[in-house]
Amino acid sequence: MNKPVWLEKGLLILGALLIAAGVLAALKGAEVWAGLGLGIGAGLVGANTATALMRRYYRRHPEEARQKRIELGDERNMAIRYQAKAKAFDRMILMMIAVPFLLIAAKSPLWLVLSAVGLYLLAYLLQIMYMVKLGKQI
Amino acid sequence: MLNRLEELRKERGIKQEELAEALQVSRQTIGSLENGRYNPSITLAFKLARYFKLSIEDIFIYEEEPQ
Repeated sequence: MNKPVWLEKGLLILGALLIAAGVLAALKGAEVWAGLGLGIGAGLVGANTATALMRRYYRRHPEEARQKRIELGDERNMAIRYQAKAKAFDRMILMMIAVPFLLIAAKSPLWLVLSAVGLYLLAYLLQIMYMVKLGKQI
Repeated sequence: MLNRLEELRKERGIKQEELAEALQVSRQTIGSLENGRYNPSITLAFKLARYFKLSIEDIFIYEEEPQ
């Protein structure tokens, strides 16, 4: 589950480079590239800085780290996480039904409406795929 | 499923935290097991049985659902 430190550092550097590229693109008026660079870069820097800080905190507080490890591996907590994910998926699927209709109402291009329908179908396809895969494994 | 976890733990004068520590689970899991909100995996049931030096059937009482 934890990323290796080298990957974390690599992603942090990549994030910083993307922010710099985003700033440069903004100065040159390329708004789309600036938005992409700044958005992805800030996300990478934020997420990997938070991970690094947590790693450092737990290194200094081994008792809390041990407790955290127990809580992460605790079977009841895992059951709660899985059930929460399953329920969130069900709610998301229900909400996604409305998206194509909202896009039609907003007079969005056809490719956008079809993409929304495609995403909805993809979610169900993934569910079926995992049911078959897990059915063979378990 | 009913269980005698709380009774057995109190008989031995063990705190929920101590039992949780010994079994490497959270204290909340012990609490949920004791009040019957959560049924353990077979692995945890074995760990509990070994901890108390009893059989699983001595701790957990399975009652069939009425038809």
